[in-house]
Amino acid sequence: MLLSFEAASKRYRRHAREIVAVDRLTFDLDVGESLCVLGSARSGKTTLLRLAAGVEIPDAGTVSFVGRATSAMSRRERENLFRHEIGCVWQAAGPDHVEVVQFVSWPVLSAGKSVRAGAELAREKLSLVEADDFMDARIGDLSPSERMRVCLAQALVRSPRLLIADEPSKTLDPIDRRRIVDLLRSVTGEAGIALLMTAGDATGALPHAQLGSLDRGQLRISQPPVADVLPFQPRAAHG
Amino acid sequence: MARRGAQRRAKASGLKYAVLGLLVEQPSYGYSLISQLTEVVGDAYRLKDSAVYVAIDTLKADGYVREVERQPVADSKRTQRVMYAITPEGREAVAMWLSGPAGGSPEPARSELVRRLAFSGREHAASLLEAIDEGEMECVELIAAATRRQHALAGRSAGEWEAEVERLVHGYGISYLQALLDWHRDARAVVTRFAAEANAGEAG
Repeated sequence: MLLSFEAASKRYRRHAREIVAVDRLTFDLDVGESLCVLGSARSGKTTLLRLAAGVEIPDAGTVSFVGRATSAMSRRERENLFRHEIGCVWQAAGPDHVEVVQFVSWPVLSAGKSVRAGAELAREKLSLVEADDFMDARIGDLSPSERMRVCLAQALVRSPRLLIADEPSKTLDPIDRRRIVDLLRSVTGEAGIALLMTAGDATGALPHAQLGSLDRGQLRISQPPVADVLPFQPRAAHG
Repeated sequence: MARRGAQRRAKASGLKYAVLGLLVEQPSYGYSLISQLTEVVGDAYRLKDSAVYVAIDTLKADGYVREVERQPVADSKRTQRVMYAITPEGREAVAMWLSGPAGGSPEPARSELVRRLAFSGREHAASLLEAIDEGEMECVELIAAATRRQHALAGRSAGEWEAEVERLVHGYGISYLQALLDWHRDARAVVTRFAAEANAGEAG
């Protein structure tokens, strides 16, 4: 199993009150599978993703990546996980003054590769997310949808086994929203990357994925008919 | 009984125009109308075959459609396959419908749960919570189905009238289901709170 949550809980202390962000989450995600979690504001979506990414460890229960509990890993091991195995698309989307190719190649450079190798890989992934037109722009000049695609390219240069996306369709209009969701499907489906994503409401849901509902830290996942979890079939052409 | 009949008629009248709308294009068989309707309207509405036949019967009685062909069928429960066509009166009715005011309200889905909620005391909290979970999962499954259907259309050229209308039609279903999902979460919060208070009361 690639990613496994077993009764994983996370609490926060806000002033005198203890807040349960996520409560005994249990689910598995294997290679090539995708799970889209629907939840309103403060339902615990981001905490769930931060636990999955190994950015945080649970207070109770376990989160395991390929059979190893994140709580049993050293900080360095978790950082390595983050660098090589898991690609993340978070809401905060890159510094404005940086050029797109440079931004996308950062993970490659921090892994010790040359600037040239980094730029080459960055351009390849940018092309994959249909960002050819603005490869040479600065982040600050991009629309929300373009920014999202750039962040997706950056997550992909790590050649991850798991892609995590935090409400990728949040600030987008309906047409861009569908485009991003389609892209997420195609880039993960074709490469067999597992996908864990969240959406604020049903309009951002991922097609052909398992869907879950997160409410006040509790996750309920629907058991789809078999046809829903069949392997992704790429579209013949992008229209 | 009378009330049931009225409900059935009200439901059929909503469908009536959808069936007529399809027949404007070309004559069609009953079962192929059903599959076309599912295609157009999506999974969110849970169309019943019988409701479509009721609508067709009503349309026949109104003189808006007529039978144009009857074929015997060997391998089906229905012994004959009937092809229907729209009449000139039917065309007029569609035109009136399209230019008339939009009315109606979405049926209160999960009505069984709502009715149970209305007649339950707080001592029924546990079974209500179960029903709420079930209802929520049903919403999630319908969202999955509607999203899949919408995605299937995504390859068509965006920006064109047909593609945009289809996106809107499926979007309506998805928005409606999202509202139901929110309702279930709200219901859970309320029932959970009262269940906790009841438990605390018992313990003390």
